Amino acid sequence: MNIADLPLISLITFVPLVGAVVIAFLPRNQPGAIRVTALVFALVSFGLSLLLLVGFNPTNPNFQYQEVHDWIPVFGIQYKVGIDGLSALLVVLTTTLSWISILASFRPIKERLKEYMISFLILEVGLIGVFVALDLFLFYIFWEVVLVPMYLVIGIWGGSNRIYATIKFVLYTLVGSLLMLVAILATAFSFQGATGSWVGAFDFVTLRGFAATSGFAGNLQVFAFLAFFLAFAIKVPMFPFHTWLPDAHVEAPTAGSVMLAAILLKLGAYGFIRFALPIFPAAARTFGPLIIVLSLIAIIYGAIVALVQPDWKKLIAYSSVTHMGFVTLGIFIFQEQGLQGAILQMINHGLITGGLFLLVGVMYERTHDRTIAKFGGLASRAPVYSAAFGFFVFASVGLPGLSGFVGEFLVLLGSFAYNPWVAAIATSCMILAAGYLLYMFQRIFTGELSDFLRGLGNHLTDISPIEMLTVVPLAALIVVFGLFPGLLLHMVQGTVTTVLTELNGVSAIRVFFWQ
Amino acid sequence: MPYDTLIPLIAILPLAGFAFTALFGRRLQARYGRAAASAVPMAMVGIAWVAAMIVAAGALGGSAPFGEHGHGITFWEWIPAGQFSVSTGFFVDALTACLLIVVTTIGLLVHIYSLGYMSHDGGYWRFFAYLNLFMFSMLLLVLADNFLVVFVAWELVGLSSYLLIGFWFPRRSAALASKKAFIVNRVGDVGFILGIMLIWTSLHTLNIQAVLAGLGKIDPSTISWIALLVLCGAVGKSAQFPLHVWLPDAMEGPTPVSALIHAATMVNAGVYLVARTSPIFARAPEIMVVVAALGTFTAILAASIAFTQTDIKRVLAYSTLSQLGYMFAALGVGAWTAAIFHLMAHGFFKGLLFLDSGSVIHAVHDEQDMRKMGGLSKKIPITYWTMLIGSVAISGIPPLAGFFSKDEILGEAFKNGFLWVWAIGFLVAGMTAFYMFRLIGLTFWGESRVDPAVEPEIHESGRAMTIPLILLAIPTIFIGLFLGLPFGASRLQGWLEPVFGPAVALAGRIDQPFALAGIDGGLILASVSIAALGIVLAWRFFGVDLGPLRSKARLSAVSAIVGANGATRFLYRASLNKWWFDDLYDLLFIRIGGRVANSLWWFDRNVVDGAVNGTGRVVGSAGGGLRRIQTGRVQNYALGIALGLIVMAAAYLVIAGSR
Repeated sequence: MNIADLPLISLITFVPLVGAVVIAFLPRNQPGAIRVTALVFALVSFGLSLLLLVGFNPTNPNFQYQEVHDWIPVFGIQYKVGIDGLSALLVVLTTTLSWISILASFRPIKERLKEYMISFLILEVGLIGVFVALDLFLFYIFWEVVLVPMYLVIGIWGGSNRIYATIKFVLYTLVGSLLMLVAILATAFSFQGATGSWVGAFDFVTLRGFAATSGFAGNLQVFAFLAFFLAFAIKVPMFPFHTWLPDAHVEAPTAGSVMLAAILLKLGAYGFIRFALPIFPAAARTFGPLIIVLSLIAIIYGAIVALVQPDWKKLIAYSSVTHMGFVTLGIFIFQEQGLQGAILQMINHGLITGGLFLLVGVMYERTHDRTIAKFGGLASRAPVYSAAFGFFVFASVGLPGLSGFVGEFLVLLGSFAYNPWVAAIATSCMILAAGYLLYMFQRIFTGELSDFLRGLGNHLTDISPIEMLTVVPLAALIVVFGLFPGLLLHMVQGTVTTVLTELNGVSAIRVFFWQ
Repeated sequence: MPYDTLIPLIAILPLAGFAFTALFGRRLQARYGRAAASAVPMAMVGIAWVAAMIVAAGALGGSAPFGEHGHGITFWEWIPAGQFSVSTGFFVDALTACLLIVVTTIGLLVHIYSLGYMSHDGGYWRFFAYLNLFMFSMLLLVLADNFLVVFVAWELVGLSSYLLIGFWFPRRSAALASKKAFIVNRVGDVGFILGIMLIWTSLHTLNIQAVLAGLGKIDPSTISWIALLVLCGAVGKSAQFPLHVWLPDAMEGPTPVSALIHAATMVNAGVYLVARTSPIFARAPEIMVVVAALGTFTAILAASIAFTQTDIKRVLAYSTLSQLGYMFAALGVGAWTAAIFHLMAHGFFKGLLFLDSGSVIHAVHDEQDMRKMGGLSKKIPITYWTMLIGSVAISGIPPLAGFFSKDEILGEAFKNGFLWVWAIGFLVAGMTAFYMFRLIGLTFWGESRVDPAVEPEIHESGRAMTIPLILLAIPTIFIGLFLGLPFGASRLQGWLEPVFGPAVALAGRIDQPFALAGIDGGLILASVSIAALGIVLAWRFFGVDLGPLRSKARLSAVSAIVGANGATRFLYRASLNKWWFDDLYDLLFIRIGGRVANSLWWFDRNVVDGAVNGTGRVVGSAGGGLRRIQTGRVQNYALGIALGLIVMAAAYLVIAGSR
């Protein structure tokens, strides 16, 4: 059988589900087997996703590896999946961080291990599904699938205030996603009303084509876009919808934080680029400037608030708010370099912040505390760990040569072409980023060894080889993408061109009096 | 070997040395000792030095493929983002060659010196790894042919400087200083990167040579903005006012680092950048005035602070600021060649002075306070004599290095009509001589004030340290004669003429013939006399025992002058407190900034999140209210159903009736 004939995407998506089922049948008293099974299935999915890259043709503007099956034919709902450069990268990012997260959970998770691994594998299914779904209904299903395992992961294996955090996370996200469901339905009805047929009413490619030729009515665009916006803005999260994030991060177990920061936050940005912009281009243009303002606020505000965080994880959570602000800024200036930079920033933020959370988890295992004030002088006790953490800190600072810089720079360049003052405001975040990250690094790693750490005695060991194994792949990718960002840029060029071509044809709808 | 292989090697070798030592240095040092850990980084810098010398000789000689206007090589397309594209590549011309000589030569000598200086430090291997990283970054900075790659190197030198300042990180002050240096530098970098964006949006290229050639296509106001933004970056890295505050604190790093990074090479990056982009500045004369003003102001500000500092390294740090101010002043008046001349000369003599100070600090067991030194000249003679040579050079006494370069700056400022630059520079020349010989006096002359416990153990440093001192003293004496003669048509001018020619022509600077008997001779006489005056005053106040000339220190005279009246007391306090810039920034950015951050966080928890939780609470209590409807009594439900039916029927009738 030829590799090309395999339903590769479905395999990647559902191999973890098979793994979850297998684990369900494993005896509870064999934690080793459960761990290895979970890791193996995640690795299989990861390996298959690499095959995806091998066969991917960046010059082909269409969705590749498409699989189409009728699902609810009455309404034209299909099981339709496929990838372009953007989704391919995000799928691989997901499969990479999934196996890393599972590996990183080996030691810390001892209670209810079976349920944990099942939740994690189902989480992976949902995340991959979101990135490959080309049917809006299917997209919605996967979108909600993500919520359940994440709810459990935070709610069961989380910290002391986990119930509050996880309910807040789920309810907040649900508010947005239910509105999105309404918008999806409204769009489908509107399509059916215009064409007289349900065929393709939920199919992204058909809807995009419709949007580009006849276009949806202004009212529908405005309301549907706002509904999508709310769902995605909460997920990103954009200011002022971000307050669930610090709570969720602080309470989530390490691997939960990693997946949350590295992948879940990308769902919103992906949704903007994939669905909101192409289907509702005029509405996107209408609200673009407003979203740019919100992005600028997120960039500066998140960085300033990060400066004074007393909790290690909370600090990184706020740094996510500012970094994701760059992503939404890059998306909504509707400009080539900006959008490319935004996509790069999505990938890089996944790698960098994923690494940071992994490393915080490594130390939390030893100290069971994240209060920055209790730390100090760690570098003399755990030099390898400190060097690794320092690497990710400087990647997060945006040190050129590492991947974070390229994405940020392209976003800034794009915004400079849009408006130099916007770029100037966003660029000033470079100072703040160095401020909050180095301030954190100084307090935790330099100086004399703190009394708290000294009290831990021999428990305070340096990073172990397995723990190193979880961050080294990320570090390697950060270096490679820093030196050869072309690897990523070539992949997403097609997506960027398609999205921008559709946006360039339309003008804003008059909603506000100043327009 | 072809140049196209040699040029990349100059940068790649130290990078390889860094990677190797970072990965294996610790194990090598633990298993085979210190020599094994430092062998690779030493070898890499050594070979890079040889390669750099060959390349520099080729470029300065103008042989093929360099010619007059330099030679470039391209590697790979770094960022291919649609219409935006940045390629990595190197470019070598006479200006690059001058920098290569300074960076690799002083770099190599500092490496050798560190073998001795760091020999008792547990982090030995780490030190050499960082040094190699710095060498790579700095060489990348001068070799890069593209603004964005320059920016990469710009940040990488910032990183290596951060690592090296904070090398003794268990010491809190070191950790704070390294963080401060990085963040203050970033302030300038924001301007620089914005300038890079403006360059791209105006010209759609970031290749330096292409940009300089295409400037004619941009309108003048844009060029002024570009110049101003690029200047921001230069001000940060070269520690000019108002971003000068990081450099004195950077002295927390080990002394070889202070010599290499914070005196001889990295802080020159800003000067290099402005010189490299001289055609941009030549088209923005108003920004050049800003450059000159910043430079002169920094020169006198830092010199005035150096008067009262008691830490030997801090005096040298303020002296560095002041000398960098000279270079900026030169750049501002359009004396680009003089700026590079001073850069080279200063690199050698300031590198020497710092290494000397390290040797002194070693001799008195890690004491840096000059009030606890004195009378060391006999005990550490090599250090003393080389430091004396350095001090004479920086004071501008002929025929040592500083005389030629500083005089060229002052002369050009005078002749180009910048009389205020000349006047302040002239004054600073006297101040320089004074504070340098104050340093010499307090350290080497007069009575010993060394801790009696340490006194008997004072000894000259080992050969690894003294040989670099002697080797640096040689260019300190001769480089001025070599590069600066004959007056008016010196060797350096010949080399740099193709680089700066266009800018000189654009700025309308007239090359007047040199007249030793006329104006030039008068200026030389003036500046030499004020330098001599400074030395004599310092000698009177701080004592000397130079052969038969003996004079007791008259510290009482100093305090008499300081306490003379309110004005002098104020000046003394201002100098001692560094004109309160650190306090001002602390107030603005740490205290007030911290308040702002804390109140924003309060806002986040109580207003933004408060709204979210408030909504949740409202919904929750509404649900609690509605819960009472669900009583479990069938009668109640039946009533509800009946009422609902009536409402629905009525609504149907109304709607149907309206059709």
